[in-house]
Amino acid sequence: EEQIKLLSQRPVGDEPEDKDFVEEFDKLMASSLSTRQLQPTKVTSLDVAIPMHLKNHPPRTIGDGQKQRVVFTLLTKKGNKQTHQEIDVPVGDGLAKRMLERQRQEAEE
Amino acid sequence: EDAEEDEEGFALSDLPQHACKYCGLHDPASVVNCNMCKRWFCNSRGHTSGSHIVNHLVRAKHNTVTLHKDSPLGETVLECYNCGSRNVFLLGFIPAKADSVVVLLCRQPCATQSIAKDQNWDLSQWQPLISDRCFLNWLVKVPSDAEQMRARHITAQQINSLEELWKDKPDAVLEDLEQPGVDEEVQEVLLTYDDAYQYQNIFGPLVKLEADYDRRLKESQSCDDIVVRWDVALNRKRIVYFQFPRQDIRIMTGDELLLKYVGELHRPWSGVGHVIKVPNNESDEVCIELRSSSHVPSECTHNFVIEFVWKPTTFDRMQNAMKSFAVDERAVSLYIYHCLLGKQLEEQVIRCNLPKRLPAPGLPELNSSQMYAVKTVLQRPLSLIQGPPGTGKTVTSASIVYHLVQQRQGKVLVCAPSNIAVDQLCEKIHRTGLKVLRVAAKSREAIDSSVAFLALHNQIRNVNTYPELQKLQRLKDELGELSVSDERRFRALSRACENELLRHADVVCCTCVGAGDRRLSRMTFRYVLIDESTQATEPESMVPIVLGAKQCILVGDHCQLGPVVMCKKAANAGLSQSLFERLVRLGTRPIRLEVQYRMHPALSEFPSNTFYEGSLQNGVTAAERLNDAVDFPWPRADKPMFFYSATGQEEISASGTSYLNRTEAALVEKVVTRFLRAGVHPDQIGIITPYEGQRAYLVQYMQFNGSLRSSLYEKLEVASVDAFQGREKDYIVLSCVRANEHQGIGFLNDPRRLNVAMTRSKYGTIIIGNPKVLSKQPLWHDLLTHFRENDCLVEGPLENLRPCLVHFSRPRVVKQ
Ligand SMILES: [Zn+2]
Ligand SMILES: [Zn+2]
Ligand SMILES: [Zn+2]
Repeated sequence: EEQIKLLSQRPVGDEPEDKDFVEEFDKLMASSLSTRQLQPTKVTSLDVAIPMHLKNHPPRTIGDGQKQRVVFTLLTKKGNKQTHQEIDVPVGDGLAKRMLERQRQEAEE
Repeated sequence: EDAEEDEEGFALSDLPQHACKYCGLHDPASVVNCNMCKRWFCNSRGHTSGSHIVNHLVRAKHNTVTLHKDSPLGETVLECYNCGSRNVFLLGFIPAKADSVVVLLCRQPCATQSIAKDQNWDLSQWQPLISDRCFLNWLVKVPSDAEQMRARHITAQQINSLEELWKDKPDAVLEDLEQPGVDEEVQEVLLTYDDAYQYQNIFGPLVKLEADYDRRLKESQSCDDIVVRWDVALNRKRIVYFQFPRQDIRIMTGDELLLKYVGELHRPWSGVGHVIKVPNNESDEVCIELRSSSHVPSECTHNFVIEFVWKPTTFDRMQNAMKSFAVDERAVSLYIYHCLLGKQLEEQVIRCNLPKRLPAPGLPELNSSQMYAVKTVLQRPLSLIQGPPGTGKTVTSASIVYHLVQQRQGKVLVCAPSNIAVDQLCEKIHRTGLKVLRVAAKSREAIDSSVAFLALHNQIRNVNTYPELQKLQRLKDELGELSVSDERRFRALSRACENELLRHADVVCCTCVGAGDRRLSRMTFRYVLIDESTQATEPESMVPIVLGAKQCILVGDHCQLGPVVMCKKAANAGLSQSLFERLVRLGTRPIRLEVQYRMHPALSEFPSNTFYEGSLQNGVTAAERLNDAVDFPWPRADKPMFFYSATGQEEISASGTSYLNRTEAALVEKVVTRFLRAGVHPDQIGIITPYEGQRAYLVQYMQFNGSLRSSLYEKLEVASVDAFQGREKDYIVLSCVRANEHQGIGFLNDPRRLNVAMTRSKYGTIIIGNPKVLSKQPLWHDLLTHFRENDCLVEGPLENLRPCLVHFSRPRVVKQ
């Protein structure tokens, strides 16, 4: 990709409207959670089965250097049916980091 | 009818449905759809503290979304795997304890320990979907910096206003926030723009103003009582000759006219044709070629009406270009994009194979400033070349084009605002041996030019790989028209053949607006050179640039006349400033060509000192510009110039809209007659006067009062300064006209116009005017002082010129 360098950039988040947005966002996050906590829900248990064929595989990585990513499988539902799709998470992300760390530990054992 | 429709049936580039409603970004991996309002938003922050989708959800109080069908996960509604909750502010990912599996769960209640039955999941690792007010970038891609820089820059304030506006007008777009009301003034052009949308929002209305003005002007120009003469052209088409009685309307070749029969000898008839000949020295008839020859009332000669057909093509193409600039990331390289917006960028050097020999085959040797220009522009993505009068702009441009082609990276698009300039450059480039194609508007195909043989429509005739096309072409030439099916076949073949020719060309030449032609708009041109670019409006220059430019060369001279904008309101708002000029004002230093080969050194001195900081050098000697054969009473034998003092009064012309000056006209006649007697051919003389009233009066006066035969005076060219821009004559006589103690000096107040007037002649310039009045203006004061110091400010009879001793006025700034 073509690389260029701008010699001056506008600062981020310097408008009063932006500060309002940040406040609104924080409020929304908090209220979303508190309403759920107060609401009685029908859900009583967490029950997500991991398909057999996805079990006990060492994590797979693709790419290298900064671009390295760990391939995860995301479980989703289409109607009542379980489906799964691959999703690449950069190695820098907590999720991927922990997965690779665990793998390293297992290998040492 | 069909053919013309077809010609202009180009597609407007539009943003796809799924483009971010704030910034226009539309990578399917980067956008999500708000389920509640069905609008799309991207996951980039721009200059705000949250990504666009989060900004929207927060401000609109919406909270559920779907991914794009072409994103890595496909069309997916984000929801809790366990309970189906879709509130994205509650959703997050949980990894399996032992496997590389994740699942999306709501934080409350599904991700809480209390209900977990399943031991496979590590609930402590719950990670929110929205982090740092942005969707996780591995779920919804955050656009790259480059992508974001090119998107529309929306501010938090604009986001706020737009969200408010949607409450009343769900279909509103960002532009609606900035729409000026009916009576509101248009926004003036800026030096720098945040993004291409802002650029488009400012120039769009200005182009529209100019279009409306042009339409009203054209539509008001109908003319009745026209007497016609019918003929058939060589191509078997019907042509019609007539005299156009209105002096105030300038008809141009290529103009489309509607000819109507309103008499009683034939049923009502009307036909569209385009002008192929305008009045000239030989005949004052206009000739139009009719589009269709069927049912013409060729037995009638009287009772015709002419109306102008206004076509929005030119303006549509400019609007289109600005739109592409905004929404099409392939329109220009990132570097050019930001340069055009006026951003300061770290300089870029293009690696190229610098030629050992800089002059191109078939072209003259280059001087050092020309060589410097060629070498420098080859290595820069964007350059400006300033070519003062007579400094070999065209040869330099042609040499640059030659070397660009030698880099073998792609075709070069060469444009200029006017057809004449395009033809000149086209001809020079052809001399270097490159494969050049001249693409002209369909309506100009019948017009003869020096490079007609390079024109696409003529080259098609010489292609021998399409025997069927040639057969149909012959048939068409013989019969004038083809059957419907043959015509369809003919067009399909022509198009295929055109494409092939265009594919194989090294260089394509056309006018700036011509670059928006259907035949070119689907091609990519990485290299663009625009000659006379200081005479194009910015939107006009954009038409060729947005066809993919990554290297752009603008040639021109911002010290000469700029683009012609007819609508005053648009001109005042800045439409008459060229892109070249804006870039100069932004601090881009043009590369200046410094050796002039036109004027006698005495003639170049004042313009060089006044307009070019004294940098113009003379590539011609005084001896080469002294014409001993022409016996003329110059006050100084070594200086072929003088200011001829005339003290007559100015008058309002018969039309009431212009000025004339009889005393000056009489002096012009005397000077011209003297030249003619000395053996100068009328072709060699140009008479410049800024006022139409004086032009008309001069033409008439010389024919009736000139002491030589009137046919000699008929061949003289009398025109405005503007009409002489870009051209030269051996001798120039300038009649200033204004001689009024109280008012300004009108047109002559513009330094760029004076520069052009002063730099047209090779062998001699004579200015006729009132020194007392003109010296009120500082620039003219300088000019008069210069003439006086050189013993060239004179008065009296031509055969006995003596110094004019009038006191100059004290100069003051004259407001126009
Ligand atoms: Zn919404
Ligand atoms: Zn966006
Ligand atoms: Zn849930």
